[in-house]
Amino acid sequence: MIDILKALVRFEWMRLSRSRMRASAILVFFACGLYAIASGQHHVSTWKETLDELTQRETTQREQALAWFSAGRTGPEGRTWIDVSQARWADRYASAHAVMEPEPLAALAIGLSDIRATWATVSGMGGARPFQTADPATLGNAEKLLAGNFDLAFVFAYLLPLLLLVLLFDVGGLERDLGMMRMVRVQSVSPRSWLLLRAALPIVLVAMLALLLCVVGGLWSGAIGATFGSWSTFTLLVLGYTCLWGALFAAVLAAGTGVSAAALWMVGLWLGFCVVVPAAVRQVVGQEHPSLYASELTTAMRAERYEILLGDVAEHEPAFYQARPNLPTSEPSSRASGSTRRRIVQQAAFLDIVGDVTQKMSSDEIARETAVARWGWVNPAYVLQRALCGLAGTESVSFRAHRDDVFTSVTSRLDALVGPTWNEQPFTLETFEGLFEHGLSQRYGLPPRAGTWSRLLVLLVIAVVAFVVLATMRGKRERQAGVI
Amino acid sequence: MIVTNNVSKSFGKTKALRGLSLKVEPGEVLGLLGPNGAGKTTTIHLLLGFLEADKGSVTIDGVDVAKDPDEARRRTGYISENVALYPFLTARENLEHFASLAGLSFSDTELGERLEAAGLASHAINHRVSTFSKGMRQKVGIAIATSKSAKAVVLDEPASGLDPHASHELSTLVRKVADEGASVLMATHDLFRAKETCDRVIILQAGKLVRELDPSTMTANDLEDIYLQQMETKS
Amino acid sequence: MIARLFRLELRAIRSDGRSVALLVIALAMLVLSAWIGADARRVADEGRAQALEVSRAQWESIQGLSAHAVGHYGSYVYKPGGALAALDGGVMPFTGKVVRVEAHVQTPPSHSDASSWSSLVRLGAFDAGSILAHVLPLLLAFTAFSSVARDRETGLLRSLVAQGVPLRDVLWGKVLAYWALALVLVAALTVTHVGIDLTSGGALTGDTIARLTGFAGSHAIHLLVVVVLSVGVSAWVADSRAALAILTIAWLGATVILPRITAQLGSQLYPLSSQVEFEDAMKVDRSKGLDGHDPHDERRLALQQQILDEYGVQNARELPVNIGGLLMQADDEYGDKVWDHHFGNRHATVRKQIGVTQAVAFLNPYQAVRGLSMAFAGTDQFHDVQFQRQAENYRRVMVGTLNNLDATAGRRENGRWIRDEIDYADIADFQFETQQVGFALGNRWPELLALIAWAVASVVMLNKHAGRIPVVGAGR
Repeated sequence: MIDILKALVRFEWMRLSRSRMRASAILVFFACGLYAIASGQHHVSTWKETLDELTQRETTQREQALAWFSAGRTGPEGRTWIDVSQARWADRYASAHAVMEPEPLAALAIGLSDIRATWATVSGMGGARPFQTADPATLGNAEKLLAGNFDLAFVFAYLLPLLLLVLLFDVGGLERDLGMMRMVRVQSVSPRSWLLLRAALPIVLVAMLALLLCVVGGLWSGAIGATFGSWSTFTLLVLGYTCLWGALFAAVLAAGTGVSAAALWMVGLWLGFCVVVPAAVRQVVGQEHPSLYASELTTAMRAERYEILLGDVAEHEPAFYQARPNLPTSEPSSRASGSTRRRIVQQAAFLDIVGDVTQKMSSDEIARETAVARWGWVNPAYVLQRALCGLAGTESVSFRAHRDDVFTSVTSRLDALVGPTWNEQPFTLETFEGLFEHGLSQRYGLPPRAGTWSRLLVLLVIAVVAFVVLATMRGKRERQAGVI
Repeated sequence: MIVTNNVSKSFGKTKALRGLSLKVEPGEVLGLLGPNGAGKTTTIHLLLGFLEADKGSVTIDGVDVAKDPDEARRRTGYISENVALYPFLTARENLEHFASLAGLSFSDTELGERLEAAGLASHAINHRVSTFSKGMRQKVGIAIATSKSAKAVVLDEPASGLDPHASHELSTLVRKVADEGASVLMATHDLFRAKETCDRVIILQAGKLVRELDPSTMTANDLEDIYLQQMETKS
Repeated sequence: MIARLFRLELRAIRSDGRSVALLVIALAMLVLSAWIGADARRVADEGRAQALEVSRAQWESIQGLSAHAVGHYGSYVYKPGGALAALDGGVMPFTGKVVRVEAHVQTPPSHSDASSWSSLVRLGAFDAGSILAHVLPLLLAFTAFSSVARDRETGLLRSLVAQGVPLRDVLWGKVLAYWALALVLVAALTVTHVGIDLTSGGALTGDTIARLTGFAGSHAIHLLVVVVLSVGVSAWVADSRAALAILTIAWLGATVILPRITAQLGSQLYPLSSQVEFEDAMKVDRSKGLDGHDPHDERRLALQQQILDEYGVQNARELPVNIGGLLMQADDEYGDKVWDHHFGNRHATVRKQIGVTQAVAFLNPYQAVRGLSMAFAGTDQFHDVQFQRQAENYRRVMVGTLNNLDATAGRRENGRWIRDEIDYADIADFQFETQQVGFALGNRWPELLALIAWAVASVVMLNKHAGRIPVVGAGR
């Protein structure tokens, strides 16, 4: 067996190295991988630049306010109505942001990070910040987003199966088409072992290429050093996906058809699993769970907000005080203080509504994703992409976590304004600086859920069973008809 | 030794072989003659274990092909009508690859010698076979088949499409293989080649052995007359 | 002769189970996509109508708010689906559907589908436009890859040539047969779409017919290019296996790799500033206008004086109008200029990025047909920008009306401005003016030109070189 393995390794090497098409396919795949890493890295550096700009913005405003405190003032000269010792202005000038930091792996799987907002301003009195971030898609080129991104996750999910296809499509079929299979069989190798070994070698080669790209990507992005565990899982997923496609294509080869039929089946599988199924699942689930015009949110942001602003603040005070039992209940000493208190109570009531809507929108998203996940066992490209993007913190689940964190930061900020306002303590330099703590900088990479592995495994098992069944059928057919 | 004992094989309602019994002794070349559809290819496929007989048994060097096809094939060499080879490999690499599949290992010199012994010109040995003529490919095929030092060699129309010179070379090689102790069964339409190469000839018709002849006792023309008479009789 | 060969090829295709299966799959996918697309459109239209109804009810129930406060209360504009969005969703999943319209501030559209979906949204759409441009070419290539190579391998081509049949006729017979099948698929889709549209109460306007013709026509031309190239490769390449490999790789490059690389190249050649930079630049320019909170702002004081002079009074308390409304209108007009400048630059950059894709369309017919398909469906970037412009125009008219009401709807009593009760229901909702097909063509002429150039070039090349294709295979 070892001798045969050696012979087949030598044979496969000659087959690959002497075929311009195959050698080019390997080079093109590798070049695409390198380009994807570079492109992802570029995307992440742009992302980081934005975060730097935010820091710059924060610093400028902070230094400005701190300079006022140092100079014994509470605002800029000539603009006397600005008073950073008061909650409203302190909140505004203690400009903080809740930021989604890119995971190192984000350079390899950019996911939704060019579509969704990765930062939001934290302000307790400035409105409902979780949704007040601009939609990057509408400020940019939507046709670019439609074309899709070119990251390593795409290279693995889409192009890796195609490379396998190019390397495998004529294994066995060539021998059949040229009429060599009888000669191969007479050399007394078991047909199944011969096919398995022949198919396994290109699969191993592609897995090694994928591993190499993962290593290059991991070193380039710093993921190997910074988040080795996530990088390892990323790599394992990619290798598992390679095996899955290898098994699917081996099943096609086991059917024992000619080259054209095998190629047709393989491209059909690729087209089905990478193009048609994801698109069809999106369409079908989109019908079941349409994302319409966000009426709950628009209503909360306008009609319900104004209802609170124009209504009687006393309606909201019981809930407000119930949530904060330690607050002094003494009357405000001034009109301005009373006005700020009223505003804070209204804002808290408004944030409660926004919190409910956020939950509702999140649960709608989760319901949609659960519906999509039901099709996971026939949607391997998506399952892989989702798992890789999840690790890279660029999947929807990461953005939901970020949105929840933005909301938490905003409510924390509001709570930080409550104490000084009710105790009628003006903000000092120290308490003002304390407000910056509500800024948040977090990474959102998550390990894949158990379902990811099981979904890929289901398809792998189906592929293996198909291999065995088709190989057995082929054997039976050949023995009956004598056609090889 | 090649032995078939009362072998029958049907494809649906078509009876391809009806109780065929034959024996090829070591050192003997048996010619298998017959019109298209007589059962020659079915017989070869049964010998190589590609088909299972409905009835009867087939043994190669004492190994029952139905029971242990892998072992039987290990003892068999095969040359088809149209030897196809990997076009991106040279003649030497093709021989090396096929030999290694059979668990055999040869040095470069040995590979060259075997190809030359099969009649391939030495300058062609390191050329890719995609440029080879049919005759050259047949010679590589012979080298592959003989490299196993098989106890039985099965040839399916090996001279089809070869020029007279190549055809003659083939006959010489086949005789050489037999002389080295192999049992050779050669299916052919070429009566002249059968006369030249075979020790014994059998004629199959509609799956049955209808005639057995010793070609050494007759001329090629006699063999042709007998064959044609046989065909007319049965049709 | 070509007609005879055309019929012969059709019979050959009919007798090939694989080809028939591929074509049936394509037909099923197209019909299904038309049906799903129409249903998605219905759901979206109902959702929009519902959202509009809710928003309008909220607007009409405004009570006790000043015109200025109503300007801040604002309104919502909901993006309608494109003319043929059921056939090609284009960029719609990635663009915002809701625009908050309010005074002093321009809000970009938000709540795109992509903002509430997982990364599945990146893996393509199951709409007719994608299937026709992306999937069908592969299926056609798989049906046609062996059309000539097979005849060469079986010796049929030799026999035909020996009979005196010109090779050109042989190739054209095949091209026309495969193209005819493609046209049948396009026609079946069009008929299905029109049927569903009419039975669900849709109206077939002149513009819809023109758009539908453009949509079907551009796909038909693209499929002609695909068929000519497939038959051409099959004719020139040594064997059918190589033809299959070449066509598959070409398809992959054209539909999967090149569009992504082009889009990235465009954004790297013409980068957009980040959102933070953009917002900060807008803020800086906006701060050069009137400062609504600073009573000592020089520009504000100057304008105030100008108004007083116009009315010939000494102070604002003597004015027959509310000066606040006039100042706000002036500030909003300044803000509009800032927006026009910054958003104009941004759109110009995006247009340049799309220009890169349009240039590459001369190298890749897929990118040409993709742009045209979206444009005829009314779902490309240009149609989206048009929606944004109309939403912004509506905002300006609405805010102008409110500022005017703030300035004039009231009376001066003892120097104090007493506001009238205003019925805001008189202010109409946003009405989207659908773009005509000329708008689509006006923006997408490079793609149209590229597609026609591809069709002409491929037909001429096939015609010119048809006589020189190998009749016998290599080594045979």
